[in-house]
Amino acid sequence: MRSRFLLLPVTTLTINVPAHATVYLTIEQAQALTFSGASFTPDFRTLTDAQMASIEKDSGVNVRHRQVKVWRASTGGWFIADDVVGKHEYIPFALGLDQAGRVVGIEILEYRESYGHEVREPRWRAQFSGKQHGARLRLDDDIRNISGATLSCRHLTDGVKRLLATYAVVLAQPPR
Amino acid sequence: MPSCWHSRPVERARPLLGTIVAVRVHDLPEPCAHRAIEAAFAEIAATHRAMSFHEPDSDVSRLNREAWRRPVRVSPHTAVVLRLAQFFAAATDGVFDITTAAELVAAGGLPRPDSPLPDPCASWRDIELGPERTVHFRRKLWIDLGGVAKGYAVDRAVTCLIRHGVRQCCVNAGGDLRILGPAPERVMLRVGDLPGAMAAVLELADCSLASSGERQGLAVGAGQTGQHFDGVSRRSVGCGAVACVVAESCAVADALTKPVLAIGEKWAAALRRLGATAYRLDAAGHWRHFGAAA
Repeated sequence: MRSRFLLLPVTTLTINVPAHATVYLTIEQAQALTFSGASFTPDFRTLTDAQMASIEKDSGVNVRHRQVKVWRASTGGWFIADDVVGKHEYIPFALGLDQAGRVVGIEILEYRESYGHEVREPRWRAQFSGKQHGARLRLDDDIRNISGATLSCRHLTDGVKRLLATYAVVLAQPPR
Repeated sequence: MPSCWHSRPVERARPLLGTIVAVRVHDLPEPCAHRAIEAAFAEIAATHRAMSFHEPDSDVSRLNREAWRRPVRVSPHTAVVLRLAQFFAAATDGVFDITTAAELVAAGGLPRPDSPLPDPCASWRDIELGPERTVHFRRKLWIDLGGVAKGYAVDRAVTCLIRHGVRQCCVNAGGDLRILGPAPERVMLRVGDLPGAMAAVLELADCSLASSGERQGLAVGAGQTGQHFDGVSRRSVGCGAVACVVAESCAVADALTKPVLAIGEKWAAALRRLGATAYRLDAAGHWRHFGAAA
């Protein structure tokens, strides 16, 4: 166990959270992880006004997109790609449902905003740049992790609630 | 970079424990990394199900409904966490106290459980851990394991990753994190603006970090109260201060942030005994550190 505490000038830091990329999973990777071995058939739906109102009433959550990006898994079940609004950015995520509409998986596809958002904003960093006389960013000050004020996942759990209501209103219905 | 590392670490994130939990594995090929990460998330989900204050079937909810009437049996992991919680209560003379759930509910930070109001004199001393994982409350009280369960879940996840052959990884549950492996990693402490345009960074290898508290003006996410209560005074603590604790186990780091936030240096000796180091930022923007040598 080793630790050391450092106070470093903000302008020398490279905030690299999440590490190496801001994409955790592509849609195809998330599909393969949620429904192992399945193939996927797109079955995108466009919500009517009545359906949107019904989903909002059932879930208590606003519907932001009229289009629902759904795929049917060949092994049974549904894969939905959606997004929610975090504090600063959209958070794409995916939800897997079995044939009865029960959740079998939730994956965050991309997570850019994290905690260090304000520190990565060019405008925020620019206020300090005059003090550095063109100092270069040093890659060995790579910051991979952030700790501090906790982020709630409420927006994501609300998104899941909204999609469960979407399943009940749109997907669970027998085809006409 | 060790030669066993693959070209790119594999990282995934899910909403769990009321926050975003990210698991990153450096040293397994991608398919193996995904299997290990899946197993780690399952451990975290199991901790969440057992110890969530919000899930009606969790051990915590069952205890809050029933344990004042009769002993209630809990799962093995909940039993471990309760023993840990009682140990921290004793070690901090009750400043760490899971019965401050009552104050959190009164402050609107948690929903009211479906059971009678707690006895205002109730404390951690009224929690009886009996044989065969049974728990009884000697007075009407409510418990919340939020002050230690996240850290415990992180420890479980890391143990699981080790079982899958991982030797370099990071599990981060909304800022309570554990870094395993020979290569140190840097963690930025998101604590608001610091004097002199500086950032506080901890460089860690093979240890855990937990943070509690918040500075003025640092908005928290929806649904987050950011409140902690001193179990002795029963008052909200650490307004404008931030406590970061480094320890080998994330459960220890998590639990110790609350007394460090409340009283700070009084716990230097206890921190040293537990092998933990605390960094506390006061409302004026000054850092102090105490406990085991960093």
